[in-house]
Amino acid sequence: MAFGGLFLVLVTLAIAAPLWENVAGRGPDQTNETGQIEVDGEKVNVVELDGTPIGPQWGSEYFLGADANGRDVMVRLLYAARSSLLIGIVAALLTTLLATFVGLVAGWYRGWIDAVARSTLDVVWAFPVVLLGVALGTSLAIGGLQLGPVTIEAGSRLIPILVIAIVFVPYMARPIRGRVLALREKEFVEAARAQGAGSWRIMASELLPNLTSTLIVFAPLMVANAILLEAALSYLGVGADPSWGSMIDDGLEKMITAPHLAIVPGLMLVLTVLALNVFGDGVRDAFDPRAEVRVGR
Amino acid sequence: MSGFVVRRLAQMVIVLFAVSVLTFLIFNVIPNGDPAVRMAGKSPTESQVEAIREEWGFDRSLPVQYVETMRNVLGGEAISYFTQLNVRDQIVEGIPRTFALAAGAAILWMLGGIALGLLAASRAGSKVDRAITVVALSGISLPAFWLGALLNYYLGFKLGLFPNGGYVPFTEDPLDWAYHLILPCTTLAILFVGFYSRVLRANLLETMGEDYVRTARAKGLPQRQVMRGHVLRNSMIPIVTLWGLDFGAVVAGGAILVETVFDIGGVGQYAADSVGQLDVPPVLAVTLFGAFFIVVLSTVVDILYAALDPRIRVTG
Repeated sequence: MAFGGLFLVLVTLAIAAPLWENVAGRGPDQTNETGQIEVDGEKVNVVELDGTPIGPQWGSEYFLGADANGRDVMVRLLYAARSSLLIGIVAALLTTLLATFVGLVAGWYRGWIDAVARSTLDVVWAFPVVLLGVALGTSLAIGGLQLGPVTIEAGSRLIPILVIAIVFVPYMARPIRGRVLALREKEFVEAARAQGAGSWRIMASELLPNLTSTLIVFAPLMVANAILLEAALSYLGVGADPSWGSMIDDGLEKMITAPHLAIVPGLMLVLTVLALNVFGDGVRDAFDPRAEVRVGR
Repeated sequence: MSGFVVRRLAQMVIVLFAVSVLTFLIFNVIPNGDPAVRMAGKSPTESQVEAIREEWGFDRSLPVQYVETMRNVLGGEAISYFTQLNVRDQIVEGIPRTFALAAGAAILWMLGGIALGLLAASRAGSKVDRAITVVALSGISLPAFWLGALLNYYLGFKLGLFPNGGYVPFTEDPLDWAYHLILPCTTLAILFVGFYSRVLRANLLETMGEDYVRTARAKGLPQRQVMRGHVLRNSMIPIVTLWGLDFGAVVAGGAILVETVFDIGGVGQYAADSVGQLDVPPVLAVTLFGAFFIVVLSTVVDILYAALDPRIRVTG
């Protein structure tokens, strides 16, 4: 539970990002390569001539110091928390929706619908996760996507969200399909059918409620893995910016003079994912201790 | 049984075909994906682009291009659009590197998983057990690229305990080869070891409650012998299955980030480099290579299960 609380604190911090932006007086993307700030009454370069950024000031301005382009690390960190959490949560929700739909329909109708659904899941499954993510991310990041009336601009957060959501569907759809296959033989489904309930009615009001524990067990782990994959994608340059992944990527170039630039966003990432994993572990023990849940890697 | 095997093999071929078509489409239907323009370099003339288009066959219809590219990929004659190097040669050079990394890591995470799992199960509920749970969950919460970069920087570059990335062929210097692989393998293993110890712990605790274990104890077998001969042996079956699947997944692309961070130069790194340039032939070849491992291993596991449990054959 303590870890669930930690996750709530992180969410609050992410929501409060614009507040800190006001305190710091600069946005997450505002560079300041030649500027100076006052430290102990002396003017100091934000970025030294040799490219070394200023360290943590522990005050309103440059609380955690600057990065190589003179951007405020603290402000970026909080905005990165926003994109990581937003992308992670929305992608996980989308995965859950897609997987529930596929699992229900495949398990209920069986026959050729099940065969098509399973082959589709197999294809997505066989695609190496990171490679698929980078492939879709790169191809969409250049020109965006235009599908009929829907236009997704390059650099939109929708790109990583869609990529992550699709990639994780098989991990969740397969156990759901398995549950549905077992549930459809139960007496209460037979009773509903005898009363004349149609397929969709049975799926929505008889089967879906019985999937709740599976969905609840998966939810925190889905978000955790979505956040990890988002970080990997933005580390490779095809995710959001600022994001913890892109900040680590930037920071690794300044490892010698300013190691905290790569370490701090990494710690935030680990804390967030760990909080979700520990929370998810507790949820699993409470709802379905024998469930073998695994997502990603 | 043979009908099941044939069905599973047919499915495997269909999935691989679908993966290849999908990969091809992703890189060809996207906007700004015209490889001729990108290959022509900065500010090309229209006739230069046209010449490249004709030379590489980009002016033909997509199905024809797909068949042509696939024939080259499968025949080992595909050429990268950008480096002009033979794709098969690059992959063949990368395979031992990727395999060495994956195998080393797999051995480490298996041994670590068994040790931690046994320790946790034998003291279930104690502080040690809870500490192992936290360690395990931390392991699956770490981003591979971050952990790898930090280990490489602090242990490799700063303290000089390990080489700063890179790979030395086994035939050149076996000791140096192993020395270069220690950090990358450890990084990769840390990501898996927690999960394995948790699964093994759960299996062990379940097996310990079985009747035949009680019988063995009642016979007067010493605790150590019961654990080794009865409990551990039966708890290992699911783990070994998992191990096979995970090894396939790591070879197939799970190691991309670790390979890149430590500059191993394996198949995964080749894939990452090619994907960034939208270089279709290498990406297609590497994706098929990866998908092949994943699909083959899961097919083998399915067939093995079906051989052991006849009920699966009917529903599968």
